[in-house]
Amino acid sequence: MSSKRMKFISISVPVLYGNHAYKLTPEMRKPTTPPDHTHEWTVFFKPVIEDFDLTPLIKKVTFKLHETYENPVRSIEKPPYQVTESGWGEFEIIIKLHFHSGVELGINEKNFQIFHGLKLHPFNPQIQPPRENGEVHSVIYDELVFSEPTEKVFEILTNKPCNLLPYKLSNPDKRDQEYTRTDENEELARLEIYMKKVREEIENQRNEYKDLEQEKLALLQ
Amino acid sequence: MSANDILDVLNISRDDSKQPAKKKQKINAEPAPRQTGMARELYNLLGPNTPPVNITNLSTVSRKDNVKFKVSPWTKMPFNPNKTKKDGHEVILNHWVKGSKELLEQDEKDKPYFFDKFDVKLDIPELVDEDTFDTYMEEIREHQKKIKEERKQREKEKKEQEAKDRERREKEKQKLQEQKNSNNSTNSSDNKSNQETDNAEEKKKESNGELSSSSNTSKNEEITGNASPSKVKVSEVEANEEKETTDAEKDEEKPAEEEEEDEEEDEEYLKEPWTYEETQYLFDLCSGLELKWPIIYDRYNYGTDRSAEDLREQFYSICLKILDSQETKNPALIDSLRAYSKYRELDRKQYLENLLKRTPAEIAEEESLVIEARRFEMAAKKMLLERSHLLSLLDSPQSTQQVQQYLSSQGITNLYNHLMILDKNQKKRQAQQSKSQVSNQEPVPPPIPIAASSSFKKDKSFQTHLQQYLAGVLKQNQNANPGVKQEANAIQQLLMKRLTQKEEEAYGLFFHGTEKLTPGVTLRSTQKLPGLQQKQSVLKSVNQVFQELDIPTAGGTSWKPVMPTRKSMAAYDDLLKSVVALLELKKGKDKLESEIKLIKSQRGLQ
Repeated sequence: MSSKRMKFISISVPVLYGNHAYKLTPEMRKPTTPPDHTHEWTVFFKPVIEDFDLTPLIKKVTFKLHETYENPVRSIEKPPYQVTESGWGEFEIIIKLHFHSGVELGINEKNFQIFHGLKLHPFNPQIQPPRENGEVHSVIYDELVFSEPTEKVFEILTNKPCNLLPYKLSNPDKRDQEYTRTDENEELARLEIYMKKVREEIENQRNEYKDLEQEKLALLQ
Repeated sequence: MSANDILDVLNISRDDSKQPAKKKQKINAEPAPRQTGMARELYNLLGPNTPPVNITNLSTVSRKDNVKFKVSPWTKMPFNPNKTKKDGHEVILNHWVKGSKELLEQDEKDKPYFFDKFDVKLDIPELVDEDTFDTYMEEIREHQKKIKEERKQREKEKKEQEAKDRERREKEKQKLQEQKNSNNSTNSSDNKSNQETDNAEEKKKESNGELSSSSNTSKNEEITGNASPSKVKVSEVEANEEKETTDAEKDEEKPAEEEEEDEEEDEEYLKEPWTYEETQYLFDLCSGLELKWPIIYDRYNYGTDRSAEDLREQFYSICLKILDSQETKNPALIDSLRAYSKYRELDRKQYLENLLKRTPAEIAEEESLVIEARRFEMAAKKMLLERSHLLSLLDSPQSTQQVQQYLSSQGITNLYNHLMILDKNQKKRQAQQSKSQVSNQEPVPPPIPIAASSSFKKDKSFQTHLQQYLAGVLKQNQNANPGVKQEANAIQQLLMKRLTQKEEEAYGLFFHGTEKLTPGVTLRSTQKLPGLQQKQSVLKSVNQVFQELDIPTAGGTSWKPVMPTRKSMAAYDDLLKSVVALLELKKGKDKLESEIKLIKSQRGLQ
């Protein structure tokens, strides 16, 4: 019964994924750290509300690293779902969510992959000025959308409100690591402005089009 | 040659298992009577499928019956149909009767003629002697005079009534005229005046009906008191004057008709009165022709000019007198005799004649009038219905919640959606009602919608779409397995919380309405929104447009909101769609420009 899908409904869980990267300092180096590694990074996946428990839903999260790493597929069964490694290059990490399988559980979702390009170096300098200490935070906001969830999934996800984005950053220093409701509203406002621009342009073009049509008609007569 | 031989020839082999059974059948068949009426070879060809009917037995039985049957005798018998009648003529006719001649002749002597019982005489009272007839006639004349006087009185009253009506109508018309002038809406007032005239006609009819019924009752009254003929004359003259003065505006037909009637009445006095002999002649005819009035009227040949109504009136009134004087009265019969009114009969015939003489154009006009009248009725019904709808709308649902939640744009859309659903439901209900109304054919104003009724407000607080939907799902589940106790059901628990739209968002819940969803997990940023399913090339030019419009695209070809929430993605989707529309428009414009160029260059060459 609980694996029955609920039509016309979707539930979304806002999540954050990405990586933090720090420049390796001599103190941080361990004996095992290869000498050519320049950064220590942590790749992670987590719900925005950190204490929102996804374990009833997610059996494990695997991070598929570059093949040159020893044991490239790292499997994490409990939160926090994260892997810390050191390295020198950027590559794409596949974050794979393994949902609990088994008919009796009634979750009945396929495993889901998220691709994240590991960032070790500052990017997009226009948007974010690079930090002085060389820290790089590539944190991406997204939402896991469960379309037509099974009743079990519905139950798990409605256990607690998971979409309560904060309105303020927990720390002004974490501008590049957190997303707030204010950000969403700002984004919406921006989109609204763009929309306005496009509409105006459409209006202009339409008028021009009409003028041209008139011209053509005048020419044909 | 048996069936087996045939089968052999055709090389068809039978199952061995069937063979013995066949033999058995043969053995059983042997004691049966020999087949006759059919050649043995032919019978054998039938094979194992023996016919359902035994041919031989039938023929023998029928032959035996033929032998037994004896012809019954029929005799041509003479008979006298007028045997039982005293003054009957001696007529001898013959007919065929079943039975032997001796037997029948014995019977015939004491038996009455069989068809005598169908020769029924009407029970018509015998005409009284001449003296009593004269007194009766006197009474009848007086009674008639009285009736006439009453008729005059009625007519006079009617005239007065009509005059009053007309006055009132004119007043109304004046009012209408004023309204018309003030409103300047010719259409509606036309309708109204039409309706007015309709009403007036109806009134006329009503008064006519009253008149006839009252005259009817007056006939039923016992004859009491005398009225002098001079008085009648006076009232008649008065009536005539009234007519002339007030009827000027009326249809031309009516006064003419009435004048005719007057003439008739005058004639009546001139007509020769009923003599005893003529009445005797009438009674004879009536009994002879069994009161078949059209025939009586046809055969009536006494030398006087009498209409069928005259004949009937005379006969009925005399019969009434005779029966009234008898000791054994039949009140029902007397009442029915009294009910006959010559004038009403004449009216009726006149009316029927008019009906018959209508020209096709008149018939068509009448029909169109009827249709129009019906249309007016329908319009009135419709108006009533609409009014009731309006009333039910006025009783709109009052919010039990605070107004605060509807102040935001989101709240308003929410409210709007909710109202839309209510409206849809209402429409559905109305459609059902109209269906049932079609069957009922009665304009029952629809009941007040449930949503507007006060009970609804009490027990059902405002629900969001999602909650309504979820409640439906829950109900379904409970219906599907009623045995299972659904404690701690997530849906139920959620419903218990009575969330607002905002709170639902906090849960990440969204109700997509009838939108088609593909089940499964996706990332919001890669969700397949309709605007996002563009080709790469299109997206490229979209980005170009973005750049032209100073919209930051972060340099990439696939710019997306940094924070892909449901709202931002929807907005983004809209943006993309309108940009695509803009591109289309641009394309069209370019095409048009090139066409104009082409035309210009052609003109330039010319």
